[in-house]
Amino acid sequence: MKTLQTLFSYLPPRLAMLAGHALSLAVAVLTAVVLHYVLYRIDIPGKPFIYVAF
Amino acid sequence: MSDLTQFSAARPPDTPRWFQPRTFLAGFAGALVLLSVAGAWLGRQDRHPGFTRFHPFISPEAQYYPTIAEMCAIVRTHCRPNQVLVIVGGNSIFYGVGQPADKMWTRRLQELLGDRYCVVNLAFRGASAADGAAVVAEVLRDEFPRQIYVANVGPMQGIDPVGSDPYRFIFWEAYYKGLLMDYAPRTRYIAQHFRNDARDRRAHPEIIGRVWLDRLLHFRDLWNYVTMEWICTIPSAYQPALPQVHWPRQRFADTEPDFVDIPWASRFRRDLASTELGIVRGFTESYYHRDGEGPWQLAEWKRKDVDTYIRLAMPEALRRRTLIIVSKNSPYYVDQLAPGERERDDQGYRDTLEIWRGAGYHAATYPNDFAAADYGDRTHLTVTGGRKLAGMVADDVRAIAAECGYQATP
Repeated sequence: MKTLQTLFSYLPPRLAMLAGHALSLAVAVLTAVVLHYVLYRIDIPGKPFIYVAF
Repeated sequence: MSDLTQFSAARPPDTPRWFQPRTFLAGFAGALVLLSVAGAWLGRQDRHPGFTRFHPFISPEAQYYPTIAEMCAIVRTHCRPNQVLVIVGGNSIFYGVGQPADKMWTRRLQELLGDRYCVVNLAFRGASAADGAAVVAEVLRDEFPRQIYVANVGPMQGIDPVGSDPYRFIFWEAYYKGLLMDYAPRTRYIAQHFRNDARDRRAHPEIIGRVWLDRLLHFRDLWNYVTMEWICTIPSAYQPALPQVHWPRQRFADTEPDFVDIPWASRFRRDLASTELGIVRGFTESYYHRDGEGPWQLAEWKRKDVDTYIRLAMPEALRRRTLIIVSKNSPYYVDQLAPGERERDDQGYRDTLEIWRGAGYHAATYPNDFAAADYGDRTHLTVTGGRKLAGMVADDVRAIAAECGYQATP
């Protein structure tokens, strides 16, 4: 994170601001997708149903 | 000290930060809303082109858990509003184990009933008459008011009003999303179920929580879509190795084998004969008694038990349009029963039909022309048996449609 912030300081302030928003948005979307997927996965039982005819 | 660190030390204090909390929160909330809207929309799309039935690759057997919206979408794709909808539920017998998709009994049923009716097979292997198909039929009661639900049970077999364990997730989804009819006896039973069933009692907050979350975020519909169409992220015993493990489930066809391609000796194994006979006897053995050679009497507790549960399973209005078929075992085994056991078995069928009919359902069993060759094993039907089943069910469905006043137009 520190390195990332350092890299940001290379950029002109306006561009750094835009890049910061874009990066934060990308991380937000990724987090939402991961959370959405995790909710789906934890909903699936760990052991599958094994069909046995009787 | 590296160049970067030197630079950092020298950076002006007003350099914008790479992480913008407000943007993150807005993006996170916005993305969840978009995912939820996408899930809700995708849930209404039929992602099962050429649907035949819920074969193992698209069922809980392979860790695929269809949603209510998904099952309703299948029905909407197949059935026009001017047709009488016939939803088939029940277990592997009505699923059509041993009958290839192009020869399955429900396909024959559709042919016999003609275009005035639409038959959709939503049975699952190992399910009960109260599982997924029954739930979907109830959910679609207003959208398809002219509908008949057909399912099978065994003799003296009751049904749990909340469905059987592997498929109960379908019932919970419909119940906690408020999609089912308001039926007070069932509501009371559910409260009792959570008091009596230790495992479900522990899981109760989790069941409510995940249905509530799914109602809000539609994650099951969205990721089921991804699993069906793009990539499967859940391994299962059916495709344990790469690359099949990641193939979208749509790539797997309904490849049910034909019983007639399996040698008779493998289907009616001599080493399992006593076990199979034990199962045949078991349907009635524990519930009947008789004095000497007198008639077999059903234990009153069992009669009450079955009667109570089947009344709780469905509101009365839905029972009138429900056809329950009491499945029979192969004559290959039934003929091996001792005469007294045979009488008890026959009595078991008569009593089962009486109980279901007494509770307001339509009920029937196979006619006596089902021969050993109509069975692929002790209980499942071959293609020829399926054709006979379709013939009897078609007659009953037409009779129920007439009784219910369904005037379908072609």
